[in-house]
Amino acid sequence: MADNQTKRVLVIDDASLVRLYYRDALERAGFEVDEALNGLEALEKLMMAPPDLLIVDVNMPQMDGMTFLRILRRQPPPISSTPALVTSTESGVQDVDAARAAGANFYLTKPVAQETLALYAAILCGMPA
Amino acid sequence: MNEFLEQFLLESRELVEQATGDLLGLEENPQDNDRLDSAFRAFHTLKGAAGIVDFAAMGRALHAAEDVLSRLRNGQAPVSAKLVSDSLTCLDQVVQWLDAMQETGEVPTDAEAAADAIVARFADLGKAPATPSPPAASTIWADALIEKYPEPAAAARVAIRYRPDAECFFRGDDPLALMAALPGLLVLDLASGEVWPTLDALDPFACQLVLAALSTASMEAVAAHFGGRGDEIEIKPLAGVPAELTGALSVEARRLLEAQLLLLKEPTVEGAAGRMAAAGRVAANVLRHAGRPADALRIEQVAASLDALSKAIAAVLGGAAIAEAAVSEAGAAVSTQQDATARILRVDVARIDTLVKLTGELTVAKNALGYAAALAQDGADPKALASTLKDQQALFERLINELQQSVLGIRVLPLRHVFQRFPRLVRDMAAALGKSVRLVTEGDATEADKAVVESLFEPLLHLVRNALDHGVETEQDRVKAGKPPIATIHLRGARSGEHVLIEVEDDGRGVDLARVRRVAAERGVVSAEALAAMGDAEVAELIFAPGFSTASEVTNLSGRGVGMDAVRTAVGRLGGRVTLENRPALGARMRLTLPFTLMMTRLMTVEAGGQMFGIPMEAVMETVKVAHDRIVPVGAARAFVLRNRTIPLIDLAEALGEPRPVPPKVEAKVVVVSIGAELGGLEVDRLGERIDVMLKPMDGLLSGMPGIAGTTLLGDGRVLIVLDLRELLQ
Repeated sequence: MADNQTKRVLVIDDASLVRLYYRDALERAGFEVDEALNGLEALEKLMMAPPDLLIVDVNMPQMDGMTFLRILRRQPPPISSTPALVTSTESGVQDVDAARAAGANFYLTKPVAQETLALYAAILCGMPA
Repeated sequence: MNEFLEQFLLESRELVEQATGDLLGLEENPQDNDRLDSAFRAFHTLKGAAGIVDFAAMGRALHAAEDVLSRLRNGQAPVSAKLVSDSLTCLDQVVQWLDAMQETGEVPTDAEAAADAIVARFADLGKAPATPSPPAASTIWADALIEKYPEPAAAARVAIRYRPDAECFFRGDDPLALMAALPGLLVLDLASGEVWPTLDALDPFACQLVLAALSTASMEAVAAHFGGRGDEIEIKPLAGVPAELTGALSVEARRLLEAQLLLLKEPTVEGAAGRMAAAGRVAANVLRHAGRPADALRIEQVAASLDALSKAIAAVLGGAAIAEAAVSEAGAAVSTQQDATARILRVDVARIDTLVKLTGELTVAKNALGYAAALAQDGADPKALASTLKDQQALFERLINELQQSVLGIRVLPLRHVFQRFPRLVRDMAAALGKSVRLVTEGDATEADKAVVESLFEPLLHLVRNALDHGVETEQDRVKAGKPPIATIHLRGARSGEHVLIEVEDDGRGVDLARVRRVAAERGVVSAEALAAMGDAEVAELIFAPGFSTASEVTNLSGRGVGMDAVRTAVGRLGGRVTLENRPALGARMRLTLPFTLMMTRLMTVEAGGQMFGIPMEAVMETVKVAHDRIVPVGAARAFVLRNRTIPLIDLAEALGEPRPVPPKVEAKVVVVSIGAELGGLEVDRLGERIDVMLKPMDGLLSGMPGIAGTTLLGDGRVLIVLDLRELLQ
């Protein structure tokens, strides 16, 4: 992992507004952003070009976020180790636990402020402060 | 954990064991000056060790105990039960600290209060110490050093004070040179010791110096540099470590690291490697973001071991840097989740020497093979060649046998390893129950496989607890029964052929058969009819039945919901068995029969139903040929008479569900085997050779098969199934 390269984030969310909002925040913070509408599409993109960070929604058609994460962690390295941040409107303890059980590295409850998202993305990607 | 700390833990534990034994011996016989000396030395050495790892609190607690023991030695105070108890409490505390260090790999930082409590315990024993308070605990010197050299101190990781022994020159020490060669040396400070004597009293050959230094090296590196000078060296870690190591963590960074710790704790179903790698990657990234690239690299280096990674993240969260030593250790022992104590094996040097010698002989034998190959190439006479090869095969066989024996020897531990924990336990348990008990251990030098010895503690604890709790009567009851008031529990070890026998025997009331019958009936352990038909020995055996516990009141000791069945299970797992000899009103004796080694088994091969099987040689009594007309049906089974003993006969092929292609002959080939006191006969088609094998326990599909103990690979690549006779004959 070369440190000076631009970090790539794959945003996986079926809501176009959320994708736009995240893309805006991340691009302004210097990230390169790609999008996927569900877990299945995300898996395909992941295989083609592994990103530095995944931002994953939970409720999505075709393949939900949890299923996606479980499949992700079973992949061969280095894909399996891609950091994953789950953002969801659910804020219960059991939701956080479920995401962790599926293999998420961190969990933020929607709505996520743009600065917060950019900050966590920067830390998760190991960008210098 | 670094090797240095590991050694400290290992030695300290041994010293604690030794001191405990000495104190208990001293309590029994207060006049035993050898014991007293030995205990004193153990405390003293422990204190020195604590000093080396800069564990001042432990040193303080031990110093207080040592001080009191020293007064005993000088005859200034008598040995009292309180003193022994207080000293044991001090050792308990030490063990707690050692456990904590084993866990975290660091000196506990919250030990002061506990140390104060220990010191206070000893304070009111006898008069206050006449000498001024011990210098060990004070670290004012370090503060003075920092004040004197503020600039280097900001970059220093440790402060060192070296007070060479006055006699050090005679040991060939050069304190100044030693100090000057210190790794990462920043400042060297020289001062005179205490007060200079007047010139006529001055001994120019006695070292009077106190040397102090600041260094950027790690504690471990510094301690290693001064190895073996425990009493003279004080090392203190400094708060002012380089900024790179302490780069403050933001709230977000902390939250992320905490989340990774939780992720690592998550019970793993699948994708475990992926999760772990992801957690490691995130933790490393968090540190990169915090401007700590060196720590990030270290995290990546340990990320292959769940344990090391968790510890590293926890250390970062705790505000510490990740020790370099932890990194190298994790690399060496990736994901061995075993107890660290179990991984350390002390080996007799003589045994290592034997291995080295054997390796040399093997090399010679290998070279001889080359000679044989050359002979073959030159078209030597096949007969001569065969003879040469045979000789060499014999040589190899001998060497490999010896090698196997030696390697097994390394895995051997004396029973002392587990026995030595019991005197203390019995003392405490007996006190808790208000009973007077003497524990006598015998044969603690008996050796057994390390794995066996280390798994013995729990089953033995159960048995001893049981004897104390249910077997041994109160003092009054014993006197009433005409027994000596103090009960005796024997803990014995002995070697018997390929077995190790361990006995726990008490002279208490024995198993209360009437109560066992009642409880067994109440709890439906066996049916009423079966119970009525049982003899006394069988009834006594019921205490091993699952779900049986005779505790009429739940006591602190044995009333824990795990009964004797747990013991039988644990011992069975080791390939052993438990037998009970009950003498009502006189006591009970539990005997564990365990295999000497878990690794090597001598087998007799037999053929039945066209398939080859192995029978453990230890069970084989003899092989006989029995004429078919001498085999008589007994109910649905068959039996034959051998030297006036009726022996049940099992057709092996039939028992294992194999077809029987060979029609019965006039004579049956029978292997007579013994299972405990029982004899049984196995009818086989052919008797084979005897072989030594490493037995592999069954796993996968076959593990559930009754009658099969394991498998082993034969020289020709075939798998040999080894029979579990106990299951087969039931």
